Amino acid sequence: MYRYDEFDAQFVAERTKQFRGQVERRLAGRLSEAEFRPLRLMNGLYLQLHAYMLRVAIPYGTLNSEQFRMLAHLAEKYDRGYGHVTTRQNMQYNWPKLPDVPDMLDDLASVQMHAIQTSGNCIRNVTCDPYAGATAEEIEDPRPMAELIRQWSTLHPEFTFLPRKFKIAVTAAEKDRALIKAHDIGIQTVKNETGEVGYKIIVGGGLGRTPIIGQTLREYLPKSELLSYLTATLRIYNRYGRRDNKYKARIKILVQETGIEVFREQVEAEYATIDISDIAVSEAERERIKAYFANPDFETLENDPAEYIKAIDDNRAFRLWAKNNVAAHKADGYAIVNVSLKPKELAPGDITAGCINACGHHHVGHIGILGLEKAGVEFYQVKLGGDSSEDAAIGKVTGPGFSQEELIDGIENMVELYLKQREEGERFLDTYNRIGMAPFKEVLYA
Amino acid sequence: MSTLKHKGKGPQAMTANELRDGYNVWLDENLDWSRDYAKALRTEDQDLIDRMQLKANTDEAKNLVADLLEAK
Repeated sequence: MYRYDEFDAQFVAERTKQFRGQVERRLAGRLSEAEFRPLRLMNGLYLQLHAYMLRVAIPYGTLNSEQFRMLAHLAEKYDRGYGHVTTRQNMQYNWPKLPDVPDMLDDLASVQMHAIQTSGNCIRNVTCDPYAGATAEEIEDPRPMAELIRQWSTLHPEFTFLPRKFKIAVTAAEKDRALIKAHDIGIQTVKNETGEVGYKIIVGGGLGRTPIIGQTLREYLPKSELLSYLTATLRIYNRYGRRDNKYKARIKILVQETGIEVFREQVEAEYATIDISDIAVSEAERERIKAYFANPDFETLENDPAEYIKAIDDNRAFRLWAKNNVAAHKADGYAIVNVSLKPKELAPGDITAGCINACGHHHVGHIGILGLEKAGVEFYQVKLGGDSSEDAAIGKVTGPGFSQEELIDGIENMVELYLKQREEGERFLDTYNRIGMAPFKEVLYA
Repeated sequence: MSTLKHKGKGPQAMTANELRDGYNVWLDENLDWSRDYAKALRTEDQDLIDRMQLKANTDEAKNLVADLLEAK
C-alpha cells in the first residue's frame, strides 16, 4: 500500500500541531465555538447531538495491520472500545473528548493516517471496491488510481469550498461493489475496442434524502487524461452548483436540473480549455505509485485443493458459508474471504452507521427500511426493489409506514412469499423484479 | 447559537454539549447541567425560559458548554 513520503509526513505532523494549538485556544476561551467550528471540521471533528465524533479516513478502504491495531488502540484509549465502520470506508469514533483529539491525531499520524477532508464541502475520502487488488474480476488494481486522485484532491486550492461535499468511488471490475452509480463521480476502469485500459466516468449519483442514480458522462477516457477531466467536471460543478440551498447543492441536483447532455457539453467545453500537460501524470509517476501496491510474494498453490472440496461436500453449513463468503482471488490457490463481525446470535451491533441521510443505503437495499418520526410518533417506511450493484436502482416506497411490531410481521410475510414464489437461484430482488410489487405489498399490509 | 424556532410553542427545554467532553447535557430544575435527559426542565413559563437562556449563554461564554439548543 501507499506510504507517505517526507513531505506527506511533515505536512500531517504540522497540521496536527496546528490543531493542538487551536484546541488549546478553544479550551482557554480564546476561540469561540463559531470560530473553532470550521477548524475542527477541517480535521474531521464533528459536534453531534450526543458528543463529539471524529471521522478518520481509510483511503480506498485499505489498512495494514499496524494501522488496524492503531484504530483499535484509539478506540480503547480514547473512546468506548469500539468504532463505527462507515459505508464510505471511514472509521468513526463517537465519544472522544476534545482535549484528547490532538493526541488521537498524533497517534494516527504515526501510522500514516489522518482525518483531513473527512468533513466539509471538499472532495472526501476516495472509496474503492473492497476486493480491489485481490479479485480475479478486475482489469487492474484500481487503488493506484484512487491514490492518485487522493493526492490530487487533498487540499486542492480550487476545490476546497465546493457547493457541497463531493464523493468519488472507483472500481476496476464489471461487478460493482463500490456503488459507483450512487456517487458524485464514479469511475470504472474499462478497456476500449482496441484493448487499451482507460476509465468510464459516471456522474450525478447519490443517496441521501434525494436518491438519484448516476449517468454516464464519458464512456471512455484515456488514463493520462483522468485528472484533467475531473478538474473540468469539478469546475462546472463549482461554477453552476447551487449554493443557495443545502439540500439542492449536490452535483446530482445540478446534473438532473441541467440534463446530462447539456452538462456533458459544459464539461467538454471546459475540458477543451485545459492544457492537459499541466496536470498530466507521467508514466514514471504512475509506476512509482503502482509499486506501492505490488503483490506480496504469493506461494505457488493450486485452486480448490482436495481438503477444501471434501469440506464443501461433507459439510452443508460450510458449503453455504463458502458460497456466500468466498470469492475468487487473482492468485491461484488463494481466495477472498468475507468475515462477519456480527456476534453470534446477537444483533449486529455498532459496526454500521445509518441515519435519515441514507448512510445505511436503504434506497438500494432489496428491502429498504427507513426509520422516521413525525409529531413524536416513530414509524418505519419500507422500500422494495433497490439494487446496489452495477444495475443500480432506487427502491420504491410501498406506501404508508409501520410501527415496529407491524414492520416485523410485514417483513416476515414478504420473506415467506419470496420463499414460496422463488425460482431456482433467485435472490429476493430477482423474484421481486419478476412478479412485481403488488403481491409483496399485499402481504406486507395484510 | 440557540435557536428560537420553537419559542412560544409548547414546553421548552435547554440543551447543549459539554465543551470538553462533548456529552449532551440539559438544564435541570436547579438550572444546573445534567447528562440525564429525564431531569431536563420542561416549562412554558416565559420568565423561566428567559433564565434558562441567560444561564446557557453565560455558561457558553465561560466555555463550559457549546452548541446551545432550545428544544421543544
